[in-house]
Amino acid sequence: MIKNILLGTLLLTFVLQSCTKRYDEINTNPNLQPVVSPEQLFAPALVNILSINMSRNYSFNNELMQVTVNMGDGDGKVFRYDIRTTWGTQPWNNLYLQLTNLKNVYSIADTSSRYKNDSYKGVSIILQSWVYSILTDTYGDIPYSESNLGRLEDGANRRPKFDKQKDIYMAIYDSLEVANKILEQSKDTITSNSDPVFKGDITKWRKFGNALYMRLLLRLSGKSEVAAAVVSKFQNIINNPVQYPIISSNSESAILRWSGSAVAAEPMSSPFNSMRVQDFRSPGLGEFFIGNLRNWNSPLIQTAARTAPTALTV
Amino acid sequence: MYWYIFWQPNADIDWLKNYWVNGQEGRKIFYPYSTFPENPYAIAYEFLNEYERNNLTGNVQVSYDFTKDLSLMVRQSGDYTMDDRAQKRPWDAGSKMIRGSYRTQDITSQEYTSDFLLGYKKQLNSNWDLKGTLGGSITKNRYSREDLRADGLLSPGAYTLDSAETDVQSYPYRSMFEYSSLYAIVNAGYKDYLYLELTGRRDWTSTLANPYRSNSVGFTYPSLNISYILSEAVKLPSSIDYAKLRASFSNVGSGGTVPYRTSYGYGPLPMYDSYANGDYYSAPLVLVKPDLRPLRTVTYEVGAEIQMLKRRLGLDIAAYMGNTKDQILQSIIDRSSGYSGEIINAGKVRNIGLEIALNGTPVKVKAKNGFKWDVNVTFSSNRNRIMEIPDSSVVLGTGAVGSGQIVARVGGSMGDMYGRGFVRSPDGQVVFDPVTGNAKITEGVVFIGNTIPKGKLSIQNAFSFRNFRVSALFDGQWGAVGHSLMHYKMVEQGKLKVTVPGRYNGIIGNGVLEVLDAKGNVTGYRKNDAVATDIDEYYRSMMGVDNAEGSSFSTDFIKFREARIDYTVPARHLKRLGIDRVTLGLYGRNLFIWSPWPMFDPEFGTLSGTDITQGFEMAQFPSTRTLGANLVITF
Repeated sequence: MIKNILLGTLLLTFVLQSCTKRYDEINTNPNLQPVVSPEQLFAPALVNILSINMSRNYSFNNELMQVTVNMGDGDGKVFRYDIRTTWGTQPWNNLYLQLTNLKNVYSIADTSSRYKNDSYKGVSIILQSWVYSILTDTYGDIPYSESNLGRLEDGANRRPKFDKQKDIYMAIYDSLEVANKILEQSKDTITSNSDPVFKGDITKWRKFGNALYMRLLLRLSGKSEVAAAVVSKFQNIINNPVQYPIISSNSESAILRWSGSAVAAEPMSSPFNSMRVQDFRSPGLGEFFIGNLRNWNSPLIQTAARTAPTALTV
Repeated sequence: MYWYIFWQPNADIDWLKNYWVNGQEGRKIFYPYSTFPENPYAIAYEFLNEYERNNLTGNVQVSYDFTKDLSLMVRQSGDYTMDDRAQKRPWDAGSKMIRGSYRTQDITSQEYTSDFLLGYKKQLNSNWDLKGTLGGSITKNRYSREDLRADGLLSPGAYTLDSAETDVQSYPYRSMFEYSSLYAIVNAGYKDYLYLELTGRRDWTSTLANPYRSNSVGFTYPSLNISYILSEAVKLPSSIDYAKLRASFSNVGSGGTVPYRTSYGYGPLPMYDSYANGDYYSAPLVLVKPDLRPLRTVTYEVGAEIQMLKRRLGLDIAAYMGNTKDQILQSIIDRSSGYSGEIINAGKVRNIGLEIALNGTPVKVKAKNGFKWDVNVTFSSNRNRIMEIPDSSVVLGTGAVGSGQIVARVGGSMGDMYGRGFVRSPDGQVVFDPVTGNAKITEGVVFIGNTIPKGKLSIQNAFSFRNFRVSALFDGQWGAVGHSLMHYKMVEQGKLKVTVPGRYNGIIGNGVLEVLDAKGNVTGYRKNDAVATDIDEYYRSMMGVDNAEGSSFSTDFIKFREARIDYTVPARHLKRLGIDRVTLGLYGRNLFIWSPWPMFDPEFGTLSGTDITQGFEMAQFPSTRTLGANLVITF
């Protein structure tokens, strides 16, 4: 009897042990995809970045630039440059998350045997450069070389070091040079569906990258320590239009067109869709902004202020 | 509740009854003043949630005695639940649902457990009793949810998935986990007064498994329990009826019941289903932990139980100290890492506590059905201290306002709340702004208090006489704080009495002003004499959205939790009717609250996803007082 019990116990232990092999399978998440293609990450990342920037523009930049003024007379109003430290986090908190998607687009297009694609690599570099430039323009020194490496496979870096703004700008210039080269030589296609901006037109992406390059060069052209180098890079682009094609007509502009749908759940609908009517009524248009539009006889006044913004529409 | 906060207090609620805009029934909802508070009648009659639940629970158990000493029990139990839910939202149901929506969820969840117990007992000799038990169990849990959403309906009131303006979006979710364990228990009894229990257990759990790691998902833990019945072992004074001492050591491990925290994957974006015929994904926000370890708790406990004075007085007292290590938590990390959170095994937390239960019968009249007074008192207290942590501080949760957050720091306690608060002078007085007269608020966060109560006490008194029984239960807690969203919102709108002072002539806040030297350095403080005339801003600075400290309050309370009166009809009247017993009762629950907490009930729990967040009140409805009567008839 005792023997049988011992035998049974041993058998059971063995059964339970072999369970643990099966447990790997049970703990594989069926709701997530372990492997995706670059195009599956690309469009949502792009749409999100734009939504983040538009929302920030509405809530913060417009106030900062005296386009709109929040009409309360209390403390802590952006248009009076009374800015609380906690209000600065929105671009940081959201754009870094999207950089993860852009970096994954690059790494998948770079290393995956199935999804190797040089065009996605080039476009990813251009968009990363754009996002990093917004971040460094906003915050100055930021994590760049060590950012977005939180994943264990990437080194589990949860506290990336801050790089100097100057070094970041120089690194972005180098990246945009690389992107221009990659896109020049790339034979890979970007599916039209996954690209809501240029419908997969790589030449246009290349032109956008170089135009961005020029804009970022202009930013540093007034800094005496780097001005000479920056100006010569700029001239190099202007003087070599074949090597550095740039945007030459309105049809080549980088525009993400919202679908115009009123359904907020529709991916290509504007982020302002989920805002309430009163969110647009509460800040008033600034005298600085509307006055100048009027003085300049700008036709934009009809777009910016068609109806009286403070009218009570009960 | 949000609606009540924003609604004009002196407006007639009947204005809202006809909630459709005339001539646009089904299309446009009438929102007087603004759309800020949604029309509550529209919510009650048009925003409908449907719900159907079917539940099947079963249990089969077989026992077999091989011999007098050896027995086997095998048991299989199962729980199967099906939930069908649907939500209907009309056109104009807020800015995110301009054209309404219809959503359905079909949820199936199942849990099956098989276990066995093999028991062997033996009386060794007249002094020693021995019992051995070997057990094992496997639990399997499955969950699946089909979530279909038609956001945007072609015509008002067309609540079918076919009426979707764009494609129906599907948000499926499936999960499963399993755990199994094998354990052995040895019980030994010496004479009738010394008992010993020794257990050893090994668990395996799928929630820790990961194909990329080699170390096992199994973990082992032991426990030891000794109890000594003093009243059996030695002769005690006759006033003591029963006395028992006990001590235990236990080590418990757990892998948790949340699966999928060990491997990285991309989340689907169903809202893109309608866009360009593809499947779209994004990187996860929370970093998984491939080398996740099980939680471990080592607890030492000593206790005593004593009954005396012919069992009229009883005392049960227990003291414990527990060290919990590797708690599985989600912590917030800086997003320059590319992620917003990560799964961690969090350091080491020590809990020390005391629990006392006292029951007594101060008065008992010998006669049959004579007067009797019973008292039950329970007391519990716990101190919690963070001993080690993987980082200097770990942010475990954030509140909606004033940077309120729950932060774990070494030396602190779980549940410590931090947030922006008053700038204070070294002697603790509030510093005001000399120009506006408003309170100055810190830029960074300060410690506000702990959200977990230090102690709880409850007292129940019961009196019985003849056929009547009257009982009353009071309880209370102390030592914790909470942040009130409702309070700060109402303060900002000037709807609370606390905002009345100074409304017409301004107010001078109780505190100090900084004395500055020519360079602008603070050299001292003097009594505040700056009159705040913008009363809206003054109260905002004292208790508004940016001041988490100002809108945090003690959650201490004493509650008159329950009272009841029962009358049992004398049996002699019932015999003829064939009825055994009739009891008529009146009861009241949640009768009174005495608390410094300003907004209704200090016992609130805020649901955030599936977790209850402690410490942040988010405009929940006040708890209700219940009065009732019941009649119990036993045949």
